[in-house]
Amino acid sequence: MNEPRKMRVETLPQPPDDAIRDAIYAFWLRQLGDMDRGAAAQRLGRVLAFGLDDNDAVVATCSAVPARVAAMGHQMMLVYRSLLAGAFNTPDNWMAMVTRAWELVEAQQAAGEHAGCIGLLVPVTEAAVPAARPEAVWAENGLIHAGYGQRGFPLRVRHFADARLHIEGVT
Amino acid sequence: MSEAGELHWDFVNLRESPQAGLMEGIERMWREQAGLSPQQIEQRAAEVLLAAVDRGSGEPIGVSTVYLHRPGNLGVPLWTYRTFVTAAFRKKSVGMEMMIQAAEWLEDRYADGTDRRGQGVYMEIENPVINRHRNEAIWPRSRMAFVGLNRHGHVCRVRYFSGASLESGGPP
Repeated sequence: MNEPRKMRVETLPQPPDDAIRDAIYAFWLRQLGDMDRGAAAQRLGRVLAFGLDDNDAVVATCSAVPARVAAMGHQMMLVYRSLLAGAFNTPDNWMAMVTRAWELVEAQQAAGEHAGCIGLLVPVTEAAVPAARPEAVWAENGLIHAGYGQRGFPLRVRHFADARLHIEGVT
Repeated sequence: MSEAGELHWDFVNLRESPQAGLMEGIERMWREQAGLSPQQIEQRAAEVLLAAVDRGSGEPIGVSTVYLHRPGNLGVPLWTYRTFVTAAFRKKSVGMEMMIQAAEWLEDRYADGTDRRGQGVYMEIENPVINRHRNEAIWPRSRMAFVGLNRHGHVCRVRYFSGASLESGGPP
Protein backbone atom coordinates (compact mmCIF):
# COMPACT_ATOMS: atom_id res chain seq x y z
CA MET A 1 0.00 0.00 0.00
CA ASN A 2 1.28 3.46 -0.92
CA GLU A 3 2.07 5.97 1.83
CA PRO A 4 -0.56 8.75 1.91
CA ARG A 5 0.84 11.83 0.17
CA LYS A 6 -0.08 15.47 0.27
CA MET A 7 -0.98 17.50 -2.77
CA ARG A 8 -1.86 21.10 -3.47
CA VAL A 9 -5.11 22.10 -5.12
CA GLU A 10 -5.19 24.47 -8.07
CA THR A 11 -8.16 26.06 -9.82
CA LEU A 12 -8.38 25.14 -13.48
CA PRO A 13 -7.85 28.32 -15.52
CA GLN A 14 -10.46 29.05 -18.18
CA PRO A 15 -9.60 28.31 -20.85
CA PRO A 16 -6.94 25.84 -19.71
CA ASP A 17 -3.58 26.14 -21.43
CA ASP A 18 -2.22 23.26 -23.51
CA ALA A 19 0.23 22.09 -20.86
CA ILE A 20 -2.42 21.74 -18.16
CA ARG A 21 -4.89 20.17 -20.57
CA ASP A 22 -2.36 17.56 -21.68
CA ALA A 23 -1.29 16.85 -18.09
CA ILE A 24 -4.91 16.24 -17.09
CA TYR A 25 -5.52 14.00 -20.12
CA ALA A 26 -2.39 12.02 -19.23
CA PHE A 27 -3.61 11.66 -15.62
CA TRP A 28 -6.99 10.38 -16.76
CA LEU A 29 -5.31 7.91 -19.13
CA ARG A 30 -3.17 6.58 -16.27
CA GLN A 31 -6.15 6.28 -13.93
CA LEU A 32 -8.91 5.19 -16.27
CA GLY A 33 -7.10 3.47 -19.12
CA ASP A 34 -8.07 4.22 -22.70
CA MET A 35 -10.13 7.40 -23.04
CA ASP A 36 -11.75 8.87 -26.14
CA ARG A 37 -10.32 12.31 -26.93
CA GLY A 38 -13.81 13.78 -27.46
CA ALA A 39 -15.07 12.45 -24.15
CA ALA A 40 -11.96 13.78 -22.45
CA ALA A 41 -12.49 17.23 -23.97
CA GLN A 42 -16.11 17.23 -22.80
CA ARG A 43 -15.08 16.14 -19.33
CA LEU A 44 -12.36 18.77 -19.17
CA GLY A 45 -15.00 21.44 -19.68
CA ARG A 46 -16.56 20.44 -16.37
CA VAL A 47 -13.34 20.32 -14.34
CA LEU A 48 -13.20 22.84 -11.53
CA ALA A 49 -9.85 22.09 -9.91
CA PHE A 50 -6.94 19.69 -9.97
CA GLY A 51 -4.30 18.43 -7.56
CA LEU A 52 -0.55 18.60 -8.08
CA ASP A 53 2.17 16.62 -6.33
CA ASP A 54 5.60 17.91 -5.35
CA ASN A 55 6.81 17.42 -8.93
CA ASP A 56 3.86 19.36 -10.39
CA ALA A 57 2.31 16.21 -11.83
CA VAL A 58 -1.50 16.09 -11.91
CA VAL A 59 -2.70 13.59 -9.32
CA ALA A 60 -6.37 14.56 -8.92
CA THR A 61 -9.26 16.30 -10.64
CA CYS A 62 -12.77 17.29 -9.62
CA SER A 63 -15.83 18.45 -11.52
CA ALA A 64 -19.49 19.27 -11.06
CA VAL A 65 -22.30 18.52 -13.47
CA PRO A 66 -25.90 19.80 -13.29
CA ALA A 67 -28.45 17.04 -12.79
CA ARG A 68 -31.83 16.37 -11.23
CA VAL A 69 -31.23 14.54 -7.97
CA ALA A 70 -33.90 12.03 -6.94
CA ALA A 71 -32.74 11.98 -3.32
CA MET A 72 -33.20 15.76 -3.17
CA GLY A 73 -36.75 15.92 -4.41
CA HIS A 74 -35.61 15.97 -8.05
CA GLN A 75 -34.16 19.44 -7.60
CA MET A 76 -31.48 20.56 -10.06
CA MET A 77 -28.11 20.48 -8.33
CA LEU A 78 -24.48 20.51 -9.31
CA VAL A 79 -23.32 16.95 -8.66
CA TYR A 80 -19.70 16.67 -7.61
CA ARG A 81 -17.25 13.95 -8.53
CA SER A 82 -13.54 13.58 -8.15
CA LEU A 83 -10.69 11.31 -9.13
CA LEU A 84 -7.61 11.05 -6.93
CA ALA A 85 -4.58 8.86 -7.61
CA GLY A 86 -4.10 6.08 -5.02
CA ALA A 87 -1.56 7.56 -2.62
CA PHE A 88 -3.27 10.95 -2.79
CA ASN A 89 -6.74 9.57 -2.08
CA THR A 90 -6.85 10.64 1.55
CA PRO A 91 -9.64 12.36 3.51
CA ASP A 92 -7.59 15.56 3.79
CA ASN A 93 -6.86 15.75 0.06
CA TRP A 94 -10.42 14.75 -0.82
CA MET A 95 -11.83 17.44 1.47
CA ALA A 96 -9.49 20.09 0.07
CA MET A 97 -10.83 19.36 -3.43
CA VAL A 98 -14.45 19.53 -2.24
CA THR A 99 -13.84 22.83 -0.49
CA ARG A 100 -12.23 24.38 -3.55
CA ALA A 101 -15.11 23.10 -5.70
CA TRP A 102 -17.66 24.74 -3.40
CA GLU A 103 -15.78 28.04 -3.41
CA LEU A 104 -15.69 28.00 -7.20
CA VAL A 105 -19.31 27.07 -7.87
CA GLU A 106 -20.52 29.56 -5.24
CA ALA A 107 -18.57 32.35 -6.97
CA GLN A 108 -19.79 31.21 -10.38
CA GLN A 109 -23.39 31.13 -9.20
CA ALA A 110 -23.06 34.62 -7.75
CA ALA A 111 -21.80 35.72 -11.16
CA GLY A 112 -24.90 34.34 -12.87
CA GLU A 113 -23.88 30.79 -13.79
CA HIS A 114 -25.70 27.57 -12.86
CA ALA A 115 -29.20 29.02 -13.28
CA GLY A 116 -31.81 26.65 -11.88
CA CYS A 117 -29.37 24.75 -9.65
CA ILE A 118 -30.07 25.10 -5.94
CA GLY A 119 -26.61 24.10 -4.75
CA LEU A 120 -23.84 21.51 -4.71
CA LEU A 121 -24.40 17.84 -3.94
CA VAL A 122 -21.40 15.74 -2.96
CA PRO A 123 -21.70 11.95 -2.87
CA VAL A 124 -19.06 10.85 -0.35
CA THR A 125 -17.48 8.11 -2.42
CA GLU A 126 -14.16 8.07 -0.56
CA ALA A 127 -14.60 5.26 1.98
CA ALA A 128 -12.37 6.75 4.69
CA VAL A 129 -14.12 10.13 4.81
CA PRO A 130 -17.27 9.33 6.86
CA ALA A 131 -15.24 8.00 9.79
CA ALA A 132 -12.56 10.67 9.49
CA ARG A 133 -15.04 13.53 9.23
CA PRO A 134 -18.26 12.63 11.10
CA GLU A 135 -19.32 16.23 11.76
CA ALA A 136 -22.87 16.90 10.58
CA VAL A 137 -21.67 20.23 9.16
CA TRP A 138 -18.18 20.43 7.69
CA ALA A 139 -16.66 23.65 8.96
CA GLU A 140 -14.39 24.40 6.01
CA ASN A 141 -17.10 24.33 3.37
CA GLY A 142 -20.49 24.29 5.14
CA LEU A 143 -21.64 21.05 3.52
CA ILE A 144 -24.27 19.30 5.62
CA HIS A 145 -25.27 15.66 5.89
CA ALA A 146 -28.33 15.01 3.71
CA GLY A 147 -28.77 11.26 3.99
CA TYR A 148 -27.71 8.47 1.69
CA GLY A 149 -27.91 8.04 -2.08
CA GLN A 150 -29.26 5.09 -4.01
CA ARG A 151 -25.81 3.48 -4.11
CA GLY A 152 -25.43 3.84 -0.35
CA PHE A 153 -22.94 6.69 -0.34
CA PRO A 154 -23.51 9.45 2.22
CA LEU A 155 -24.67 12.67 0.60
CA ARG A 156 -23.56 16.17 1.54
CA VAL A 157 -25.22 19.33 0.26
CA ARG A 158 -24.86 23.04 0.46
CA HIS A 159 -27.45 25.30 -1.07
CA PHE A 160 -26.74 28.64 -2.68
CA ALA A 161 -27.77 31.52 -0.43
CA ASP A 162 -30.62 32.72 -2.64
CA ALA A 163 -31.74 29.33 -3.97
CA ARG A 164 -35.42 28.54 -4.17
CA LEU A 165 -37.03 25.13 -4.48
CA HIS A 166 -39.01 24.14 -7.54
CA ILE A 167 -41.28 21.34 -6.49
CA GLU A 168 -43.93 20.16 -8.92
CA GLY A 169 -47.42 20.77 -7.64
CA VAL A 170 -46.15 23.00 -4.85
CA THR A 171 -44.29 25.91 -6.37
CA MET B 1 -42.49 33.69 29.68
CA SER B 2 -41.17 35.00 26.39
CA GLU B 3 -42.35 38.28 24.93
CA ALA B 4 -43.16 38.33 21.23
CA GLY B 5 -42.34 41.99 20.65
CA GLU B 6 -45.25 44.08 19.36
CA LEU B 7 -47.29 41.05 18.47
CA HIS B 8 -50.14 39.83 20.60
CA TRP B 9 -49.00 36.54 22.00
CA ASP B 10 -46.45 35.14 24.38
CA PHE B 11 -44.54 31.90 24.25
CA VAL B 12 -44.53 29.60 27.25
CA ASN B 13 -41.93 26.85 27.62
CA LEU B 14 -43.88 24.00 29.14
CA ARG B 15 -40.77 21.87 29.67
CA GLU B 16 -39.38 24.52 32.00
CA SER B 17 -42.69 25.73 33.45
CA PRO B 18 -45.40 23.04 33.34
CA GLN B 19 -48.90 24.52 33.58
CA ALA B 20 -51.80 22.10 33.94
CA GLY B 21 -54.41 24.71 32.99
CA LEU B 22 -52.60 25.61 29.80
CA MET B 23 -52.18 21.94 28.90
CA GLU B 24 -55.93 21.50 29.21
CA GLY B 25 -56.41 24.36 26.75
CA ILE B 26 -53.87 22.84 24.36
CA GLU B 27 -55.62 19.47 24.48
CA ARG B 28 -58.95 21.19 23.82
CA MET B 29 -57.39 23.07 20.88
CA TRP B 30 -55.99 19.85 19.44
CA ARG B 31 -59.35 18.10 19.84
CA GLU B 32 -61.59 20.89 18.50
CA GLN B 33 -59.39 22.58 15.91
CA ALA B 34 -56.81 20.01 14.82
CA GLY B 35 -59.11 16.98 14.92
CA LEU B 36 -56.65 14.82 16.85
CA SER B 37 -57.87 11.57 18.39
CA PRO B 38 -57.60 10.95 22.16
CA GLN B 39 -54.65 8.63 21.50
CA GLN B 40 -52.86 11.28 19.44
CA ILE B 41 -53.52 13.89 22.10
CA GLU B 42 -52.14 11.65 24.83
CA GLN B 43 -48.98 10.99 22.81
CA ARG B 44 -48.38 14.60 21.81
CA ALA B 45 -49.04 15.93 25.29
CA ALA B 46 -45.84 14.16 26.37
CA GLU B 47 -43.95 15.90 23.55
CA VAL B 48 -45.06 19.49 24.12
CA LEU B 49 -42.31 22.08 24.21
CA LEU B 50 -43.70 25.59 23.58
CA ALA B 51 -47.17 27.04 23.65
CA ALA B 52 -48.21 30.33 22.06
CA VAL B 53 -50.77 32.08 24.23
CA ASP B 54 -53.08 34.88 23.10
CA ARG B 55 -52.23 37.84 25.32
CA GLY B 56 -55.84 39.01 25.38
CA SER B 57 -57.75 35.83 26.13
CA GLY B 58 -55.00 33.79 27.75
CA GLU B 59 -55.97 30.88 25.52
CA PRO B 60 -53.42 28.82 23.56
CA ILE B 61 -53.30 29.72 19.86
CA GLY B 62 -50.40 27.46 18.94
CA VAL B 63 -48.26 24.63 20.24
CA SER B 64 -45.04 22.90 19.26
CA THR B 65 -43.92 19.37 20.06
CA VAL B 66 -40.62 17.56 19.66
CA TYR B 67 -39.65 13.91 19.87
CA LEU B 68 -36.39 12.10 19.29
CA HIS B 69 -36.32 10.14 16.06
CA ARG B 70 -34.06 8.99 13.23
CA PRO B 71 -36.00 10.47 10.35
CA GLY B 72 -36.27 9.04 6.88
CA ASN B 73 -33.06 8.84 4.98
CA LEU B 74 -30.87 10.84 7.35
CA GLY B 75 -30.09 8.01 9.76
CA VAL B 76 -29.08 10.29 12.63
CA PRO B 77 -31.06 11.03 15.83
CA LEU B 78 -32.79 14.39 15.54
CA TRP B 79 -35.54 16.27 17.34
CA THR B 80 -38.51 15.96 15.03
CA TYR B 81 -40.49 19.17 15.34
CA ARG B 82 -44.23 19.58 14.83
CA THR B 83 -46.44 22.56 15.27
CA PHE B 84 -50.08 23.51 15.19
CA VAL B 85 -51.36 27.08 15.00
CA THR B 86 -55.04 28.02 15.05
CA ALA B 87 -56.49 29.26 11.78
CA ALA B 88 -56.85 32.87 12.91
CA PHE B 89 -53.11 33.16 13.59
CA ARG B 90 -51.68 31.21 10.65
CA LYS B 91 -50.96 34.25 8.52
CA LYS B 92 -48.99 35.81 11.33
CA SER B 93 -45.44 34.84 12.20
CA VAL B 94 -46.34 32.80 15.28
CA GLY B 95 -45.40 29.46 13.69
CA MET B 96 -41.99 30.61 12.50
CA GLU B 97 -41.18 32.45 15.73
CA MET B 98 -42.14 29.42 17.78
CA MET B 99 -39.98 27.13 15.64
CA ILE B 100 -36.95 29.40 16.02
CA GLN B 101 -37.38 29.61 19.80
CA ALA B 102 -37.79 25.84 20.08
CA ALA B 103 -34.69 25.18 17.97
CA GLU B 104 -32.64 27.64 20.02
CA TRP B 105 -33.80 26.12 23.31
CA LEU B 106 -32.85 22.63 22.11
CA GLU B 107 -29.52 23.87 20.75
CA ASP B 108 -28.68 25.60 24.04
CA ARG B 109 -29.26 22.33 25.88
CA TYR B 110 -27.05 20.51 23.36
CA ALA B 111 -24.32 23.12 23.73
CA ASP B 112 -24.25 23.05 27.53
CA GLY B 113 -24.41 19.25 27.64
CA THR B 114 -27.85 19.00 29.27
CA ASP B 115 -29.16 16.82 26.45
CA ARG B 116 -26.95 15.75 23.57
CA ARG B 117 -29.15 12.94 22.23
CA GLY B 118 -30.54 14.86 19.27
CA GLN B 119 -28.02 16.25 16.79
CA GLY B 120 -30.36 18.86 15.39
CA VAL B 121 -33.95 19.74 14.57
CA TYR B 122 -35.89 18.11 11.74
CA MET B 123 -39.29 18.90 10.32
CA GLU B 124 -41.57 17.77 7.53
CA ILE B 125 -43.77 20.56 6.15
CA GLU B 126 -47.17 19.30 5.04
CA ASN B 127 -48.77 22.71 4.55
CA PRO B 128 -48.67 23.51 0.80
CA VAL B 129 -49.10 27.23 1.49
CA ILE B 130 -45.86 27.27 3.50
CA ASN B 131 -44.07 25.18 0.90
CA ARG B 132 -45.25 27.54 -1.83
CA HIS B 133 -44.42 30.81 -0.12
CA ARG B 134 -41.42 29.79 1.95
CA ASN B 135 -39.56 27.91 -0.76
CA GLU B 136 -36.05 29.12 0.09
CA ALA B 137 -33.63 26.18 0.04
CA ILE B 138 -32.40 27.49 3.41
CA TRP B 139 -34.85 29.40 5.57
CA PRO B 140 -32.78 32.46 6.45
CA ARG B 141 -33.81 33.08 10.06
CA SER B 142 -34.20 29.54 11.33
CA ARG B 143 -31.41 28.08 9.13
CA MET B 144 -33.58 25.06 8.32
CA ALA B 145 -32.10 23.55 5.14
CA PHE B 146 -33.92 21.49 2.54
CA VAL B 147 -32.82 17.84 2.51
CA GLY B 148 -35.42 16.23 0.25
CA LEU B 149 -39.00 15.01 0.29
CA ASN B 150 -40.59 12.30 2.41
CA ARG B 151 -42.65 9.48 0.92
CA HIS B 152 -45.74 11.70 0.99
CA GLY B 153 -43.98 14.43 -0.98
CA HIS B 154 -43.69 16.76 2.01
CA VAL B 155 -40.63 19.02 2.19
CA CYS B 156 -38.05 17.88 4.76
CA ARG B 157 -35.73 20.36 6.45
CA VAL B 158 -32.96 20.04 9.00
CA ARG B 159 -30.82 22.30 11.15
CA TYR B 160 -27.87 20.62 12.82
CA PHE B 161 -26.62 21.94 16.12
CA SER B 162 -23.13 23.42 16.30
CA GLY B 163 -20.81 20.48 16.96
CA ALA B 164 -23.35 17.85 15.84
CA SER B 165 -21.92 14.48 14.89
CA LEU B 166 -23.03 11.55 12.76
CA GLU B 167 -21.15 9.06 14.92
CA SER B 168 -24.38 7.78 16.45
CA GLY B 169 -26.00 7.43 13.02
CA GLY B 170 -25.74 5.28 9.93
CA PRO B 171 -27.57 4.33 6.75
CA PRO B 172 -31.29 3.56 7.27
